[in-house]
Amino acid sequence: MRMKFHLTAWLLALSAFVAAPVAAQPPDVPSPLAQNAALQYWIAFSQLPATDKEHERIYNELYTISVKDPGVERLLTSSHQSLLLMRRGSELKQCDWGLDYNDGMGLLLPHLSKSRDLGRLAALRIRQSFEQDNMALARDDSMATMKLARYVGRDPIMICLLVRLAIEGFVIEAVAPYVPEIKASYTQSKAAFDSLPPAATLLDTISTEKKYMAGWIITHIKHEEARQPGSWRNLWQNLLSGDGETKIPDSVKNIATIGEALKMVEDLLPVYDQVAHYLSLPNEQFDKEYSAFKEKLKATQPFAGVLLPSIDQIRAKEQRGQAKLELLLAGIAVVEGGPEKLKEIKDPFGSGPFEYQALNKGFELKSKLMFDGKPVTLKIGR
Amino acid sequence: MNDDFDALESELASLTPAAPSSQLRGRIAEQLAAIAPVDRKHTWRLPLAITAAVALAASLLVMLLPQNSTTFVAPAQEFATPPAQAFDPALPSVWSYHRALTGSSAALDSLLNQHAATRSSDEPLSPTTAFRSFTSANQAALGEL
Repeated sequence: MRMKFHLTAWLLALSAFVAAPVAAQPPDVPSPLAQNAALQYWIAFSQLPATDKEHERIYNELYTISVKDPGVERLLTSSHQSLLLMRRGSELKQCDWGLDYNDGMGLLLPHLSKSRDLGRLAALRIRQSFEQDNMALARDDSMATMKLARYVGRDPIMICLLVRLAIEGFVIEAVAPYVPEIKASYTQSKAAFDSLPPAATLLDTISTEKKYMAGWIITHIKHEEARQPGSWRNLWQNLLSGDGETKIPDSVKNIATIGEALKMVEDLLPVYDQVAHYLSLPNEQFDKEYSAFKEKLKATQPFAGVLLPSIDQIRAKEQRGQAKLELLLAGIAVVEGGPEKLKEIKDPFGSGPFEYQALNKGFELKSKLMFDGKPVTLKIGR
Repeated sequence: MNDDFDALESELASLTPAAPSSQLRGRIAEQLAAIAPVDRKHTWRLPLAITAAVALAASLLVMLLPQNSTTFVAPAQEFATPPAQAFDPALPSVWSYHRALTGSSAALDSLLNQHAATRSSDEPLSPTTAFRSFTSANQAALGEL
């Protein structure tokens, strides 16, 4: 009896060191790993119809083409699976595209173009659903597409931000003409939009750019040199090889030593922090100070033009996207409670409410935000 | 057959152990007295103490690990993207998009179109061989699946 007790005690102790074998999971019970929306989205992407000339014609007239056009009907029929899987993805509370930021400039983002295509198709079906008086499908597709946009924009990378804004734009432009017919509640709509997953902001992307893009270049210049002396030049030339449109300054192209190359990139590191500072400024101050900073940067650090995209333009697009979304919600409020309702909603880019202008069909709302020299507006109704 | 069995059984039954002699008893008693007494009653405490310590350490580890955080593990060198691949304009890499961002806004759309079209309309590079039929060379694998 005592012997048995000793044996049990020792086995118990040993079992603490031995990894417990993972219990076989029944295949029909979803594992926590299946809660990643990216898995659904990638199946959706795999089922996207291959783009042809007819699709290009449709995409070029995304908001104006008749949804009764046979080409549109064919395209939407062939996209059914993809849109269904997009909806399934939107039901999931997390999305991880599995990006390895250590890939730096080589980080592949194949989900971006696919997500944009899926977003365009969704916008087309939203329009079709409205036209067919299927408000529930239009609403659900709209929210699912917004969620896809947010999941695309979760990674703090500039291009992800821009694609997120593009997809959100598809939804806004597809929904706006039908707002008077939806008769939605402003409070409920705002709550639905507020509950969407947060996306990375332009400011968030700056630290990623600094750490993983500039940092990657520094590391790989050193690696290449360690691998084979002089081979850092190939990396440098590849880095500068452009599309022919971007003019690379001679002072960047013609550097002679690895020391100069490293210094050029390392000198740029504090610039990211300065850019982050400017991005946190209010618009008026940003507009005033950033252009001077940019000019100075061009003169003193020509490599900045290679590594830093047009931050001011991306900021303008980010703000336009934000304004458009607020305008759409304000449009819903006006339809629900009349123009008077606007007094309760502040233009995030002005000191008062959005401007209202009645049109023959519907109305137009205007923000104080300027984009390309014109105020950002949204036409509600058709 | 049964007779043989009964004979064996009788013989076995007769083999009862003999009682130890008093001399043997005496020698065993002497040897036992020479061995230091061991507190056998408490030997189970060591393994139980180890179990408790391991369990405590595991619990502390779980509690001290940051919740919902992603532990980033850098890929091994052989899994890192080669620099040459990073600068392949045909790939949807950050570098490709960076180039488009520094160019005109149409360049970005054009690049997205290019990458969207890639793969989906591609023909297979070679005939599929994943489910090839058995040949004389792989007949030996028959029955493994």
